[in-house]
Amino acid sequence: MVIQLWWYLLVAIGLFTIGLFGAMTRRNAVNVLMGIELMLNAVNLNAVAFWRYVSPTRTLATVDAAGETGVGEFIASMDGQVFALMIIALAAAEAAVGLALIIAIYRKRKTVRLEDFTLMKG
Amino acid sequence: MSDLNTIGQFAWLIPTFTAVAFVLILLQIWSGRGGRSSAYTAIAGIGASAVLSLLVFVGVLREDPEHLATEPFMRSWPWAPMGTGSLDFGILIDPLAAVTVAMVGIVCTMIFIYASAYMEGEFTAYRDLRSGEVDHALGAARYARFFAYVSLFATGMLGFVLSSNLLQSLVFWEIMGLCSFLLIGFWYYKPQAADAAKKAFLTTRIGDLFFFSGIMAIWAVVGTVDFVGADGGGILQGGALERLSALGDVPGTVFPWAGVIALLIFGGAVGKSAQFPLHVWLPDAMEGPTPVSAMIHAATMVSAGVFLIARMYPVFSSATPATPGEITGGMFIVAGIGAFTALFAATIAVAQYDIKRVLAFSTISQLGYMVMALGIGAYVAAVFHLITHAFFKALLFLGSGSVIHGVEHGSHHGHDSHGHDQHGHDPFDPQDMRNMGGLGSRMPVTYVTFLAGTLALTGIPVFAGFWSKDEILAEAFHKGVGLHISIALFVWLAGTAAAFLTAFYMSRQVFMVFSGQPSTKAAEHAPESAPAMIYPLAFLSIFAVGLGLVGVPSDFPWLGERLGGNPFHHLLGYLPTGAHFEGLTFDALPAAISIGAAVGGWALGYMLYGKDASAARARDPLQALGGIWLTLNRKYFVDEIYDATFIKAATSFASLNALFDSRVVDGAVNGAAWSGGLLSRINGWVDATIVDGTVNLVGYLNTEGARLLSLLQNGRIQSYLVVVFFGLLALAYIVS
Repeated sequence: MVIQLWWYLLVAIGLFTIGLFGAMTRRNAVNVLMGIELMLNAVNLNAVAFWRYVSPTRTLATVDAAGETGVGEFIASMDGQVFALMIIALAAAEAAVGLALIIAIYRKRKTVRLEDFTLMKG
Repeated sequence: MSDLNTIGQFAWLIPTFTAVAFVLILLQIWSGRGGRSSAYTAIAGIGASAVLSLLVFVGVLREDPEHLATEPFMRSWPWAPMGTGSLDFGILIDPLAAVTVAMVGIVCTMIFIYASAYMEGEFTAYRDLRSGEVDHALGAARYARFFAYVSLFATGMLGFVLSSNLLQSLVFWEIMGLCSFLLIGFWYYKPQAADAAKKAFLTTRIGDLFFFSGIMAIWAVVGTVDFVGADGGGILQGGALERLSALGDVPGTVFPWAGVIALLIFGGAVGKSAQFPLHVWLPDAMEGPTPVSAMIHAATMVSAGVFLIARMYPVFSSATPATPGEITGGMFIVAGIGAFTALFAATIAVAQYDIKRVLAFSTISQLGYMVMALGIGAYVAAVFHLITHAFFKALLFLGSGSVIHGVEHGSHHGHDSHGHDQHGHDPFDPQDMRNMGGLGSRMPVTYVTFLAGTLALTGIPVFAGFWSKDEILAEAFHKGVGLHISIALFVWLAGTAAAFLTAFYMSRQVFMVFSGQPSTKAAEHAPESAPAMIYPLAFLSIFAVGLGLVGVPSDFPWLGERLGGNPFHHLLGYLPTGAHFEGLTFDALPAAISIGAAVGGWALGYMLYGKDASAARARDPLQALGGIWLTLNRKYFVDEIYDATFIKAATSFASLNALFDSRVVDGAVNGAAWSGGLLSRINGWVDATIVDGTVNLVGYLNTEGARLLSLLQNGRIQSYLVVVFFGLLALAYIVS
């Protein structure tokens, strides 16, 4: 059974939807952060999947361990993987900042309920 | 030293000495040191001026009169350079100026010395106006101020006489006018004095307006105001006079334009020398201190008007044809006004009670003599009378001051002391002749000197006034009777009648003041005045007695030859034009008539007043004349007529103007203000309602819109997320 691209996409949609729903509906700020993590990772999954299946390739000469020379198909760039790595780094930073904010707010307001965070209300 | 070209170089110092004295006295007053030293300063100033003017006079005597008249000694300094020439300040010394300046110097010196004693009351008994306490500091300052004023006055007169051009004359002339105002109003806390000062100032100002117009007219015609030019270009010299007479007659008349210009100048003299109809200020000017009356209103300032006519004589006579036997144009009017004034004032003097007022009207009358003499061409006689009159009238005024002083002191002795009568409600009038009498034995020096002055004034032979007055009348007689000139005949008749009246009212005065028994306690206790007052009297009386001898006609029997053949006429007989006045041959007839008139006046005076002086003081015999007496006593009601006409007209016009001002002008201003207010209220409403409303509406809409929009910002992060999500979905839908 060949694993098709859309399988990955399906999983990514699921992850994203769950994350979005969580981010939109959860009252606890930590839960919202978790939702956001899910969405970011759905994006990562998408980026890597598209990189693996859709990116242009090039034909290059190869030498294996036995010294046999041959020709192989290779993906031309590392875009998708780099994107994923960047997003992971970003997500880590985001989680760190977000959690720090939440802790700071909690210290001040003794709550992490998002509906209480309405200082910027017009 | 007595050479004119040497001493003349210093002649500018003559008015400068007194000016310096004026400044020094001001400094003394400002530094709080005014007092007796101020009097000494003033006397030193005028004394130096007098000595210098006598030196100049001696210098003039050594010159040839004809040469000096046509080419006088002149020094001038440019004052206001102008396009083609310049207005100068300078001095001009010719026989006329030299004689007059010597007279002014001597008379003023005597008056200053006299005043230093006369004004003593100011010094010792000046009382504060509110508290009534004697205030020595202020009194001393006022005493000093008096001498500052008289020094400035002397500067004005000396500078006027020595002026080298008409404009400079006007400057000094106005200085005299100012000092006259200040000195008449010296006791300004007396309402009469303040009023008299105003009256004198305004009345003479009318004359000055004419004078100034005359100067402008001469400037317009001749192009200069210098009396004598270096190249014969002065206004008193041939070229200018030709241009004046070339102007011809005023259209439609036979009156020459030159006469009009001369009459404008004459207008100034009418004001200053108190000729009819501007004579009204002079009697009232007697409100000033007596030395002022003597100096300004008898001897010098009022003579300035006559001096002006004499100085401008060539202009006056330029319109008159050279042929003898006619007097026309300006001269005619000058003669007429002079003769009328001489007689008119003499009649008024008959019915006055105030000792100084009698002398004031006498002054007007004598000035009339001089003016009428100039009008008929008796130039030398007029100047002669100017000089002699100054001496004996100053003497008479100072004598009357001595009498007043004595009576005033007597009144303090009689009842308890009032101090100086400065509050004006002391019922006793020390100037009223009815309060006097018997003073001859109590004030002998005053009496003798006053009598000398009176004899001179009334034209009793040998005394000074006889020679000068007789010369005028002789010339009038010669021209009126001999040459059949009607105006000269009128002058002679008026002059002779006035001579009779002069003798009458002066004898009345002498008898009322000095003879009989004292009428009041004040007169009974009147002491003789201080030495500083009676020595000037004695000195001046020498001139009153003897000065006439310099002008005795050369062919007068016995005397003429022995007195040097009329040196005065010889000195003054030439005009700047070179014209020469021939001395008249002596005619016994007019001389006899004028002596007769004088003696007749004295005789009538003796009959009415001398026989029983006390009764005459109680009730004036002239009151029997009834209405005529009242008319004379009230001075022909001239003051009342002026009050009812000019002054009423002026005040009515002023109140009309005030009405116009308060109604129309104020109304317009108030209306403008009111409509301005209305307009600004409308503006304010528009501004507050419409403009502010618009601005507020914009603000309101902004804030309200912002408030509504800010409701979108509910602060809930998740709702934003929802919006973003569905927004992206919509965007994706639109883009795809």
